[in-house]
Amino acid sequence: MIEEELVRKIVEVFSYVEAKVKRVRRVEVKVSREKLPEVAKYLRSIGFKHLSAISCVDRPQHGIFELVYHLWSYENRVHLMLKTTIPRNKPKYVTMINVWPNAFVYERDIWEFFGIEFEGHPDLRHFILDYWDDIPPLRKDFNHLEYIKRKYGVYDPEKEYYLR
Amino acid sequence: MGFQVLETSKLLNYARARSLWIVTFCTGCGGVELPPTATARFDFERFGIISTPSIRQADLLLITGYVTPKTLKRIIIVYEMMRNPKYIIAHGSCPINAGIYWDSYNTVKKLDLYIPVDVWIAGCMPRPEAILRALVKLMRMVKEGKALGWKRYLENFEFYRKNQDRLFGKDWRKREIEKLRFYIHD
Amino acid sequence: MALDVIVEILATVGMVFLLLILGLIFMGIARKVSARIHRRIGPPLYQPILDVIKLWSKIDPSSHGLTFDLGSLIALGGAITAALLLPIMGLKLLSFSGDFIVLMYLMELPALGIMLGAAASGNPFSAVGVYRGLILITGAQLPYALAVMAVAAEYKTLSLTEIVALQQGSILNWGLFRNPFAALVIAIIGLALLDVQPFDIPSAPAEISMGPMVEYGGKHLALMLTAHGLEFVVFATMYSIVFLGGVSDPISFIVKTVFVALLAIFIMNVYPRWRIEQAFSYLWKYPTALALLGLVKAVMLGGAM
Repeated sequence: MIEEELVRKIVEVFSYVEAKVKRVRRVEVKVSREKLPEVAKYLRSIGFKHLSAISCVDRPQHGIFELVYHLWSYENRVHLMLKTTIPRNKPKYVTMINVWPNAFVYERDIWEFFGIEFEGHPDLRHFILDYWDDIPPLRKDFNHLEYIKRKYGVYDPEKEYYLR
Repeated sequence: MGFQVLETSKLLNYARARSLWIVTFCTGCGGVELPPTATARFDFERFGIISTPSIRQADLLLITGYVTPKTLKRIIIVYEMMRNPKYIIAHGSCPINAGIYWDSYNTVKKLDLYIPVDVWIAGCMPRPEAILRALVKLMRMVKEGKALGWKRYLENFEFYRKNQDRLFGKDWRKREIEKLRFYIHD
Repeated sequence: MALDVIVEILATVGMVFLLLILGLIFMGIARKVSARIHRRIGPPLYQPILDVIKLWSKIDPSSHGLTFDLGSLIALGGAITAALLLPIMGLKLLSFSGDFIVLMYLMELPALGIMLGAAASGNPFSAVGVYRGLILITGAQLPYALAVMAVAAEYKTLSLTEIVALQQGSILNWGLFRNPFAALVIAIIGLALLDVQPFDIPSAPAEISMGPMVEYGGKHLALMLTAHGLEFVVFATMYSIVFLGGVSDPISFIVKTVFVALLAIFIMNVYPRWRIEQAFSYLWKYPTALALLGLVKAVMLGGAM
């Protein structure tokens, strides 16, 4: 099977990665944050040319952000999830633009919604949330209701109007 | 902003009512209901309504769905670029009270605080019949000289300006112009 | 003597007014027929008149300087002057011995006026539209001039009145049958001059939002709509005069001009918009070749049938 071959190949080159087959056409590779760039470059060279998305998971109970790079190989038709974790306070990471140029958009998006600084990213500006004045909104400790009351006002059923 | 006197007579009001031109500007999900309203089945051109790509030529602004603060800035700029008299129809429950996005951090809760709306359409989404009914109602209001949202905006400009500034910050107009500086020739 | 002058002035003013209304009705016909082709009901025929009244009644016109205002006036003025050159229904208002060639250039004045005003507005879409419009005019000039030369060689005159007189008698004397090549070429060039599909690249609404007209609204746009409608009528009348045996009475005037306009409307609804270089290379290929053929035919056969 191509998935197991891939896992064997990756583990042969990098002994420190944790790789396993999730199911048909799904491979998961876990790696520490210092080693991820070289693993990424290697994966790019063996056919994972397409970066579909970068997703970010907030885990406040463990104090980490989990970054998942979703890669696709056109030759092998395998979806590979490259996972790493970074600490939650003052989150910082290196950019992957030199490996996959389209990471530009995803990293800007993650910076906007989770507040992770990507070092080396040329243009970290807001996409959607112009003039944002609170902690990034997709973090788990962001208080929706308090923010909405402050920003947009509260509906008052007596006066049938929004109060400030 | 000075007050402008609008000439009114039966003929002028009739002409205004029978030739509402829509700005081609869609927000949210309601834009998908406009092609059926324009094409063969419902055909709003029989009322003289057409959509024009130029803001300067248009009379009617359709807010077709939820409004985020970023979109609201564009809506305000577009609305202020249109020429008086001008009208607004808000589609669906999102502009009324944010609808299913009532707890979203990025959806404007009540559109009427920021720009004056003439006709509201309830529903999520309103079907083309509802849109046609709102258009006909607006036509009747224009014919009777009752669609005065643009006048309300001029008279209560301080109120609208205060609400807009509270949402975007004091100098948001200057910052928006700075963003468009590249495209401005003169 | 004085009475004659007064009658002539009244006839001129009446003719201009009639043609202005007719131009707007023609645009109404265009919108109604397009709607019927799309299987819609469509607006009433008087819809453009309501549009013009509404645009005229809008307040707070924003202007971008004198050139911007003059652009729309030049457009309307050029169209009215072109209309006065035409011998319609026995009236010869400004006719003289070389009026066909003057008419040919006056018909381009509305487009140039709009572009002059648009260039003053400073909008990037206007600039792109002006650039496209000038390219289109450059493309249309060559076959247009060749076709006009073919017509002149065919009739051995440049006066519209004499051209009408030469076509009397049999239906086979019509310019359409005497020189079909020139007739076909001028029909194609007319589409480019009137800025309708497939040649509506200067004011492509979906790409550059009305192109040169993007900053125009209110009273300026009312003038431009009127000028555009008038241009439509002037072209249809010119075509009927040169190729369809003249418009000497009201019935033939209405029937022939509406026939020409309907042809343009059908073509407009069937063909999508061309890209710039497609339109340009088309105009310098087939219409130019046809116009040359028409010129050769007119010169070789000496205008005889």
